[in-house]
Amino acid sequence: MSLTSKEAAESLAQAEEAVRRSKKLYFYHCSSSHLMMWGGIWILGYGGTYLASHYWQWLWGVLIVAGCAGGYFIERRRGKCETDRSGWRFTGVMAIAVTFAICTYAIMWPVGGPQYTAFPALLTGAIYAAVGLWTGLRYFVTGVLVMALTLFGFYMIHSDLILLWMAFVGGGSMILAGLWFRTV
Amino acid sequence: MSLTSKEAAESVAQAEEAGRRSAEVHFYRKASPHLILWGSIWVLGFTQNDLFPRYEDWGWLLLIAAGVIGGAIIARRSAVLDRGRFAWRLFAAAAIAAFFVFATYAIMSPVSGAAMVVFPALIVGTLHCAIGLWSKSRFLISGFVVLAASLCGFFFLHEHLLLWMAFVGGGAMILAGLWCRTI
Repeated sequence: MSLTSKEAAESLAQAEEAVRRSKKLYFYHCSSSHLMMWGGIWILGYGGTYLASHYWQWLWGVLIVAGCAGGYFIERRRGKCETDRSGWRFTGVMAIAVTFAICTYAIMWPVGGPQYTAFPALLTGAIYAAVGLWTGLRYFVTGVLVMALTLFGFYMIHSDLILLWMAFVGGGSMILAGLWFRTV
Repeated sequence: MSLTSKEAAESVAQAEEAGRRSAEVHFYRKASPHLILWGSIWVLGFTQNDLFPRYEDWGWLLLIAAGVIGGAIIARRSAVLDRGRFAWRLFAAAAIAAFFVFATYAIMSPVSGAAMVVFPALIVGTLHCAIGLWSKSRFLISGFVVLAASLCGFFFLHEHLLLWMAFVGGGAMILAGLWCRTI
């Protein structure tokens, strides 16, 4: 049985599509743990800031370090069955994001409580939306949702309740997105 | 002639490394014209800001429109090799970045002119650093240069910030684009 060049090209295209789809599913699966962990950190951070606002620097400092360490260990655990460069890269991305946020506060000083609350969430949403362009619709939807909820809270809630809004709506949407990614 | 399992593993590792290296070179080649294009826009934009401040809004609008169209043409040209998904993603990424910048100015309002000049450069530098983490060390270096140059300009050059941003920020991007071509 012989194969025409058209049939061969179709088979190759199908194989490429299968590889692309498989990579996308794997990415969703791998990132769901990170999303749920950072969603939990988000809830603890904003919720803790609402309850004990004087200690927010210490609280966020500890939570970010714990998140970086947790992300590293999630990747290392996965690294046993595949290439293991993503652990330190993940920590590197977090360090770059934190540096960017600090530089932004420095050039836009003075920065108040609501801005401190909203800017990291806006940044996170923009990153997810951009990553979604290359990895899949679910990331894009999560990013747009986080940005929209953040701006809604910033403009509509004019008290400390914005912290609780960001805790449960922002963090909650990340945890839900992590669970959603597992259903693929 | 037989092959031991160690030799086979080494061959596979070499093939993987060659594939990774080839993808990296391809990425540098693809990114180089975009870097040169946006670096030139950066130089032109901030220079006209400094020389003709009355027309800065129109100037930037024209330059950004030219950059987006130019970027799409470059991406479409390389799309022959890349199945053409890159062009619309580039547009969408530019739209997300613009939305993020405007939303940031909105929540940080009032934002000083100097901060508005430096903030987009911070984003570009940060993006380069993030791309650089995925084995593209030239991007990591150009990202740090842009970040450091932008912050130095913001804190130390109050009178000549626009020209500084034009030639140091834009120049760093053009040089990075030329550097990416030498690989």
